[in-house]
Amino acid sequence: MKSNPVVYILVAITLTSGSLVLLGYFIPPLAGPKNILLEWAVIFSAVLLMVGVVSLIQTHWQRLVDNPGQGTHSLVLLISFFLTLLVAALSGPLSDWSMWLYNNLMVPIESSLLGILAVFLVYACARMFNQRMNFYTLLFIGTILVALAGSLSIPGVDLALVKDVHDWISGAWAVAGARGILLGVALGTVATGLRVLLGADRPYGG
Amino acid sequence: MAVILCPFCARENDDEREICQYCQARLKPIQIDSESPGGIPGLPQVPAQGVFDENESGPGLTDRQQPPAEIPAKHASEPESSDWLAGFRGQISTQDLSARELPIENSQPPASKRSDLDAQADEGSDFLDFPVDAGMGMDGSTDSLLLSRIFGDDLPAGPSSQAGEPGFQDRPHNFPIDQAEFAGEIPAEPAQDPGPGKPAGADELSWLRDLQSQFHEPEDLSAGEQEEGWLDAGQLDPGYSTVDGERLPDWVEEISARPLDGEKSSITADPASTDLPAWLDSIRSPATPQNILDIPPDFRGQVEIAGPLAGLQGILPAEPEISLGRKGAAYSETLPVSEAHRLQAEIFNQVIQSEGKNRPLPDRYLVTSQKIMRLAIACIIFLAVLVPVFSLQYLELVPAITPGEVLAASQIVNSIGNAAPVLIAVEYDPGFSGEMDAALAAVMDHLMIQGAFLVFISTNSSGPMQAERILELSNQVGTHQYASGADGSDYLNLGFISGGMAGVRNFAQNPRAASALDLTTSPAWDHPALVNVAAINDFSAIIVASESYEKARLWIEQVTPILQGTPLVVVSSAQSAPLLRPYYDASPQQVQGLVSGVIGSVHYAQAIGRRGIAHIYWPSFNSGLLAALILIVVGGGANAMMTLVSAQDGRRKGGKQV
Repeated sequence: MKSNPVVYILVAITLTSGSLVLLGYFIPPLAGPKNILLEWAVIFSAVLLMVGVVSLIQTHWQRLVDNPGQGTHSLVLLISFFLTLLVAALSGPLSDWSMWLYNNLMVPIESSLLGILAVFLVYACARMFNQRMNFYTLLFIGTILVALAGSLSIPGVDLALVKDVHDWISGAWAVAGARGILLGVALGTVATGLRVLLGADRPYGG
Repeated sequence: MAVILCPFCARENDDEREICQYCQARLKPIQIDSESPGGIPGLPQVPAQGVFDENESGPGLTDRQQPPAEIPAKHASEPESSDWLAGFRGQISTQDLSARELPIENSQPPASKRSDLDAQADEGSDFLDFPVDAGMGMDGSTDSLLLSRIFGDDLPAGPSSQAGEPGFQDRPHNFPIDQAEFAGEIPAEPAQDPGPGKPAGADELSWLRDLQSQFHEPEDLSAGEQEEGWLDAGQLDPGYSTVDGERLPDWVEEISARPLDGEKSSITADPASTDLPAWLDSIRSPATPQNILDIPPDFRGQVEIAGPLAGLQGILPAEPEISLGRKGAAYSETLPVSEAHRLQAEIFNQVIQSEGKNRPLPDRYLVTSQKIMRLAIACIIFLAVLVPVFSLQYLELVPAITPGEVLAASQIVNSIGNAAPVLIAVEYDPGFSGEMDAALAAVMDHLMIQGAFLVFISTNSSGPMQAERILELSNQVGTHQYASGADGSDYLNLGFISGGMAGVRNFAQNPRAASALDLTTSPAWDHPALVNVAAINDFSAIIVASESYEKARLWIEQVTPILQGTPLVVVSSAQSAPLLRPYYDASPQQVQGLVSGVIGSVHYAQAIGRRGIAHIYWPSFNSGLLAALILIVVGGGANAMMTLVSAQDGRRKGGKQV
């Protein structure tokens, strides 16, 4: 298999910078280079964000030009982008105009999507017995009911037992499961970091 | 079991087989059944054709159709078979005197010819090999036999013309004879038989002279000119004797001493005493297929179309049972499969062919049971959320017991002094603002009450605007009015920091360098409340508000190792709380306080004795939660019953099993 010579340069850069940042946590004299590399990473990320915005605009502009009659969504996106950019550039990102756009467009639209999600989750739970009815389905639905009932406060109804079960599940089972997940995530992070440092995993290509 | 290798395909065959089972070539030579006059049994009896024409009275020609047992009798009864030889003999005998004057070399093949014969004898492939029997010549060789037949007793047997070359007597007994060559050397029968006793003239001996000239003898061996001195006595071997002054071999003398009549009588008088001589049998026409079968003359010009000799012209036809008796096996073009396999193949073929065809989309019904069910659930939830806004105020009952993590968070905020800088990371999207605003507003209200200096930062691009939004909502809760300005501002919005994890780490290590300016592009750290803030530990508290577990974990893992006594409080959504709980339960604690969702906000406000946004949301939240619970129980129970009923019907009627 042929390898691009540029890959070796990229691997060398990755290995050097990663090792410096990693050793900077253990060796105080290397904290200076580590901080410099971190600042570079932040700057690169900001530049990449700008590149992403430019790519997004270019893609939708090209789609609009290629398909004049079918680029409605692209047209809406371009209009929204340039309008927001114009408002923020002229009046500032925290001006009344900018906040009006945020409070009256972005927040309601995204919140309504989550409101629909709540309806579909309830519907899916009700239909789950129709799709598959076994022990695990009963366990899943029972846990959901306990979690919901434990959060309820109905006047005149004593749900102390349900609340105790809820607290036991969320304080023991949920925490135990979450801790296991966190340990797995930590081990996976270490393994991924080592693979990147050793050049076995090259997310930058090659 | 013995096997025979096929000469054509070199494959092994059973020794009993006469025809190769692979290439149909004959393994054994054709043997003419002497018992059946027709040759090959089972074939039609056809008149044979020999090398001699039927008009010619060749040796054994007339008795070709006769069984071998009758051949001696035929020889005795039919003068034609022996007349030719007898006449020839008589011709020779009448010329005895002339013949005696001929040198022996005239009647013998030349040396070159004899050597060719010897070579052919060694090869032995194209010659008819027949054993020596009583009918053979004196020494058993066919040459001597032939010469004896030609010259009779007057055959002058001499030594070999060349030294080292065997003479007639030295030839092996199974010396083969090329039939064609033999026929060529045999002089043609005289056109007119002069009859016995009539001396042959000089013209009649011309064939012998031709024979001499054919052999290219250097000497002129004419009878008249050649005297007895042609054979030098000094060239003879010691074993030779002389007759009338000439030296002759002893066996010649013995032959000469025998009367010619006796020889003749031994052949003709008792023909039945011996079988047909092998040499005579070999002279007979060979049992070729053309002789056996009645093959038309135009057939000989045909080209062989099968077998190893395909393409050649004039090839003897193969045996009829090979070339004519076979019919090629008929192989079906259809695949020999079972009916089930055929049906499956057809189905598979139809599936493949249908892949390239556009199938019409099924009709979409505007109203289906599922749509009705979804709309009903949505309407019920919507009503459950909307109705408490106008009535059912008794649902405002909040839980009395405050969780420990919420209580710890309120105690941390409660310990923050006036104008103490508090870093608030707003890390949630606008879609979660309904829950997160209610959760964070309670903490913000408490911070405003405490008079803390709020510093907002976010790794989310919409975080700075979300911070402004939550600040406005918090201002609506109480009497405090936080505002931002050049002078006398109560908070600072540092805006967005890029880089994700690296940005958070970079900010935690050096906040001043990471965010030197606020969103108004003013120097951020020139505010009097931030003069003493050089590191992240200089903040009175750090509050992370995130609906996402990953973002909260990012702040916990990157900032907590740097913190030295600075409390970290997490305000999260209800869905992230179980995953963030281990950080709170850890020892030492990585998170000192946790407020999750609307319930946590209600608990927090309840703990500080305030009524925040969460209390406004709480009746609708409680009602909607109850409606969802009822829908799940009722809908799930109904579907479970339907599933059980359909399963029972399936077991009874063979329907779908669950």
